[in-house]
Amino acid sequence: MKTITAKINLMIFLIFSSAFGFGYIAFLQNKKVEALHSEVSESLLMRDEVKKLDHRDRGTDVLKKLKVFKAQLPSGDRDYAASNLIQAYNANNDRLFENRVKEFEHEEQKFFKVSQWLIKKHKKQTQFYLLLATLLPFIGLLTLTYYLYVGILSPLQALSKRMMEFLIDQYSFRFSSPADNEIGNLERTFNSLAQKVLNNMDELLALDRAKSEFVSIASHELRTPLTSIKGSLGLLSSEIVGKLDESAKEMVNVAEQETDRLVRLINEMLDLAKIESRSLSLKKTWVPVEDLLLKSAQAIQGFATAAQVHIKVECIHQKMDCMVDSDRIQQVITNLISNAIKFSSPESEVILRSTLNEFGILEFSVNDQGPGISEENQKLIFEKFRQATDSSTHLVKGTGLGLAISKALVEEHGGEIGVRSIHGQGSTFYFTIKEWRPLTAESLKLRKVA
Amino acid sequence: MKILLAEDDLNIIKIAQLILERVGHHQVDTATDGGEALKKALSQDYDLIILDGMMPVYPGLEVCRLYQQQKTGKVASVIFLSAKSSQKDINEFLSLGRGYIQKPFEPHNLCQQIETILKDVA
Repeated sequence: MKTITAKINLMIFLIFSSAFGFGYIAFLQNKKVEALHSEVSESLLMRDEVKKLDHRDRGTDVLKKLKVFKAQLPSGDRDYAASNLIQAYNANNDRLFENRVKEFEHEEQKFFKVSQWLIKKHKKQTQFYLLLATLLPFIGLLTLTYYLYVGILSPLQALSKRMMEFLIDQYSFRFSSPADNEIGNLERTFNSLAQKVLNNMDELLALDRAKSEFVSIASHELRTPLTSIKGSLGLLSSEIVGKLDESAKEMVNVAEQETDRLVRLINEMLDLAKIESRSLSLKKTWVPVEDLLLKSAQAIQGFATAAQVHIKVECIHQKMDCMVDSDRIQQVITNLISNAIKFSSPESEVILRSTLNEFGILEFSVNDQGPGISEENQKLIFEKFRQATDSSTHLVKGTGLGLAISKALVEEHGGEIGVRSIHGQGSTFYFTIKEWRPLTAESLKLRKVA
Repeated sequence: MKILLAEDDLNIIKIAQLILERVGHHQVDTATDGGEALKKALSQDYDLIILDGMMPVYPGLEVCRLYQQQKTGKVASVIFLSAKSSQKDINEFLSLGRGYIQKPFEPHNLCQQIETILKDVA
């Protein structure tokens, strides 16, 4: 399975062994050449000395040198010639001596010729092995580099490209036939990983579907009995089925109000589930900012009148469009205003304002003169079912989901929602909308038609 | 108006019938499942048919489709009454019927709501 590693190991082994092996052989050859050189020079020196030798000079230095020289010679013709020379010298015979000198000369000459030939041969061999010691590792290195590119780098690049494709094409890509090596192992691991991702995703999708189904079934099942309850109470309170005395009427009203609250709660839970599961599709269009403010204020006017609270609309930059789902943003604004009214005392004012903030982003805000919100509560109120308890009016009880829905809707638009408040000095809820533009002639025309 | 009210929940039938008769002074026939509703709708002439979205035998949408295919002579307007509220469901109701009323409906102005729907499309 580890074929790539084995191949690389083998190549590295070949590179090093050829470099060192042939290098060492070349070194040995070179040593032989050197040895021969020194032998030849000694032989030449000896030949010079022997020329000067006279057998009548007894015990000269030359004879001592000749004896030393002879001792170094390998046994054979040269050794024989040298021993004969020494014997002839001792025999004191001129003719014999001269012959022996000639013989010695002859042998050494022969040796010289052979040596020259050997030196030449060994030199050539040295060069050849040196060439091998450099050329083979070089070829090996080239092969290794090529193999690293073809065998490793390009499969890796292909792999990373495929992984990108995997991300883009909805996780369907698989390697069809992984090779039997390390890259193949990687591809196999990738395949099982991809399968696992796909399985997990399917599971998550199934869970998500189950959750949405549960919410919609539950809300449907709750709405059916509520229809009967609401209907019966409506028939009672409108006295269609019979007269009621005052206290009975009051009780029926309580039941009716609470039923309405329950209905709102179900609707809002369904809304929130839709937004959270991202199945809510925003119908975004360019909407004049002023229209949004006026329509929202109008929608909540009845409630404001009942609570004796004045709504003041301030549109700072009047000629402006924003890219929103008009109904959903109106839902957010009316929700913020209705919260503000709930916490306002009679005859106070709620200001609805649109402006550009310091970053040039469109900001809607709702300001009240109510009790304000403590810093710790400011963080909590945007969570589900968190309500401030000191509501001063009890005209409409909240469901505890209004701000959570508003937050989800604003975030779905890519904006931010928040609150600025000092306890005891009223609060300002604000949210931002990123996309806005100056009002165009087209939208002005649409406005006139509307 | 002569109205056919098809709804499988008997309590809702009782209440809606009361409201339609006492407040709107309409003449109301009832059916408790899709099959009965279709049979009555085909055999008699009504001015308005109110169909529950989910009923035994045939769901409201199916009753409406079959009714509109098979009815000869005067074809009544159809309004759906349903607890379903997703945009997809509402679109389906509106594509086949005149209008759609969300459950729980407002008992005080159910008749008014029906009038508005009939006026709007006409």
